[in-house]
Amino acid sequence: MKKITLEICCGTTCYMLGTQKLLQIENIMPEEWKNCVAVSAIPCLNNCTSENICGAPFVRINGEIMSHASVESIFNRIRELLPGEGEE
Amino acid sequence: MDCYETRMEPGDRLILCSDGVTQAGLGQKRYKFGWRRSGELEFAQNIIRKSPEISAKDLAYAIAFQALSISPEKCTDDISCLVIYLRHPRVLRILTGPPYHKEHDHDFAMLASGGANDVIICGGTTASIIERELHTKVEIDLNLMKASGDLPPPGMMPGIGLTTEGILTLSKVCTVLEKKQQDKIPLAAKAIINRIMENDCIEFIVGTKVNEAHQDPNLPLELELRRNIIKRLAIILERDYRKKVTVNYY
Repeated sequence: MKKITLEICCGTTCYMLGTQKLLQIENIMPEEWKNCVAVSAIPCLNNCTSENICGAPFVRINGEIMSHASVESIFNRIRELLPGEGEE
Repeated sequence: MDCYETRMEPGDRLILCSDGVTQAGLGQKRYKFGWRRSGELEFAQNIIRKSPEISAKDLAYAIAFQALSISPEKCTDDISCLVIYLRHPRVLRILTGPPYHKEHDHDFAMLASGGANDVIICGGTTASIIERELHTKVEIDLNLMKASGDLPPPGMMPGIGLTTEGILTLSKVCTVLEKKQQDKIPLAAKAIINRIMENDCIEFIVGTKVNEAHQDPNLPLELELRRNIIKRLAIILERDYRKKVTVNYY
């Protein structure tokens, strides 16, 4: 199975609004997910503008931008994307 | 007091030391007459052969510590070493901030690809412009998070150099240099400071486009404007660290 990609924005705005915690996500992820999810940090997703700063922090999961990212919302999305999990 | 005159060429090194260095190890089986000038010279030449660009500071340290290590038990004399290295100035180029006009992005990015001894890219948007224009990708090692302190972790752009977040990191660098802070320096700031210290001329290439999100009152901290941080940095680097600083706006 192709790994789920999780990219975390390390830009100034996202970092100030919560990325710091998200960068540790691999350490608190369920052990059985670690082979299915590829976590990486990227310099900036270029998603913050003056209009949507409140959407930060941003992450990108399988190419899709997620705003207001939190450990919980990221975990929920990964759960949906994992094969089999959604059908339970 | 004797006076000597010598003529040095670029690449030459002048090594001065106290007799505690040349007499180190005196009386030991291997160093009956001490390390002597010949021993020290051979040691220095070996090091230079292995790392031809070794800095004056590192070479002086290496010689002094070698002298210390061949002294029996403890050192009994003053061990001092001074190295003067005559070389061409080393240039560090720091690119920070997106250019004001998007059509200048390519020329701006090209400045990251050559013309300096070392390059640092400070800023997420700046890094993504250079990634796009030079078809490269920043690699950030998440294992570095533990040492990252309160700054985003640094990354590397293959073939180009170090990358870091922009405003927070540069502000931290500025504060550390102004306060002469020695410890508890977050990794990204430390990486920039180390590179600044290894080079003589610091060229700032400053993109002047302002990210309006940074001025949003909802942010937990007030962010300083990039241009002001660079001005503060230029002053402190010239005044206290004897660097030759140039600033170009884009």
